[in-house]
Amino acid sequence: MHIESGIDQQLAMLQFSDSFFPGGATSFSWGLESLRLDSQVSDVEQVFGLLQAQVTHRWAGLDRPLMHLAHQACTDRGDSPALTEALVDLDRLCEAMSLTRGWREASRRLGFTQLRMHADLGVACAQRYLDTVRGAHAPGHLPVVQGALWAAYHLPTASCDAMAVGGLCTSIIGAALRMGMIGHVDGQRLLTRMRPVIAGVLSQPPPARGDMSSGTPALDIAAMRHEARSARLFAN
Amino acid sequence: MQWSTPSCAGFCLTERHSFALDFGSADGRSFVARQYVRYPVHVGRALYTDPLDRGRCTVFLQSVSGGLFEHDTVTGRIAVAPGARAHVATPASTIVHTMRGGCATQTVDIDAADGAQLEYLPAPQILFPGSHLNTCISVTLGEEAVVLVSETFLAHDPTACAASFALMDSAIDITGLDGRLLARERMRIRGADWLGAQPGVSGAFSVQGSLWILTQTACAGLPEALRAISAEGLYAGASALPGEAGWVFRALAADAIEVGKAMAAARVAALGALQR
Repeated sequence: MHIESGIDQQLAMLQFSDSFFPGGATSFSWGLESLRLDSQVSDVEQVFGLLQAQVTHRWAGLDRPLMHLAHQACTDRGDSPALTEALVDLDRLCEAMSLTRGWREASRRLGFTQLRMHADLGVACAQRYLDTVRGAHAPGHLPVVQGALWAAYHLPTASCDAMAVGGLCTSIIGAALRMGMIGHVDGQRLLTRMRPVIAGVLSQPPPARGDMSSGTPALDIAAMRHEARSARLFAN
Repeated sequence: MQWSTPSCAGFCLTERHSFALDFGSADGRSFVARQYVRYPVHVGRALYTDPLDRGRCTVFLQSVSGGLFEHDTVTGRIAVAPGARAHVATPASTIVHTMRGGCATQTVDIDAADGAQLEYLPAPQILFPGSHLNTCISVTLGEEAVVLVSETFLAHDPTACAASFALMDSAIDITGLDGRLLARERMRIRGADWLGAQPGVSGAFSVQGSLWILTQTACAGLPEALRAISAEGLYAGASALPGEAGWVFRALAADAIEVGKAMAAARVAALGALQR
């Protein structure tokens, strides 16, 4: 499914990154609920600190390069068996580098939902990779799926970056809002404050495959502790 | 008598390694089958001090240079033969000294054969201002092998000026015998971020420890035992690793003693669950 450049591309970006798009992202707090329950994060400034950590120390070093690699694979190979092979390889690397079970499952669930939705919208490579995931030949992690699907729409990597990181921030801020940690205006202020942080991250190229990393031990622990909670609002 | 030692082909006395230790076993007693060591590492003699397993061979690695300095490259290799049981540790923390833009590198390759047991539990690394440490531990996990690996680090400024280390770049790779990557972590933390008390990075804590409990054998009761570890001022959790490579226990606290206690408790929990 080809998207023309210009306004068509911008509208596609808005469509796929909007919370109205049924991607399932609203079920995830990406560690915020756990940190709040453990009294590690409680106010607006700490939510801002967490957003910075998520974007700068996790997404930029791990999810972003995976998304770029998947995007490149789709651009280079087109919709072909070679593309599936490349995506499976990236997907398995993503699985191996997803340290905590809760976040692995979250990433797989979100990737699966994206695949199913875009397959329903008629994207051939989405249907093909969905079949691969359903056949248990690949885990279907979100960053790999995002890169491949959005490349299939011919969206440039810069747009994919904005959609992915914007979606992550919106998910976390939305979770903070629903947990009563912040108000609507606070949420919008946080998104505004994150813009220069995100711009700083995006001004650098993503790390190479061999240099992918994260640096969020407190988030890791929060994710681990959330797995065992019997009462929770969010899946992670 | 059944002998079990690593193959000669896998033992390379090259300049690549600062130390190489091969553990074998015979009649239920494990021993150092071969060793190679050069500056700046000293290998202590084999000790048999584990009251729960008198045949377990314990060896201490010591830095004769007084820590890690800028441009140091320390590379090690530990191979454990089928059925052998070994414990490799350091007698004290390792100071990672102040650096002026360079870095120090420390790599350890661990090869645990089928049914082997290894505990590689070095004491904490103390990161001085400006220090940049790259560490990489690669573990090849045989069938029914058990490998425990610990990593602990903290920042310290001896001048009490709250100056931070430059970068801690810590990697661990766990692969199966077929060479398939099971799990990988690469943690890169800048000192300024670590001391910045940023939520999600260090939060209100200053010492981080991880215990990797690597095995493809089922560990009934281990998750509950690890998750039950708690103490005032300790922030800790545990999760199953990808690739069914085992479990990781991670802890943060304000001081090394609290993290050390938690790591010791996690080790006891792991060994108990694995019914060593």
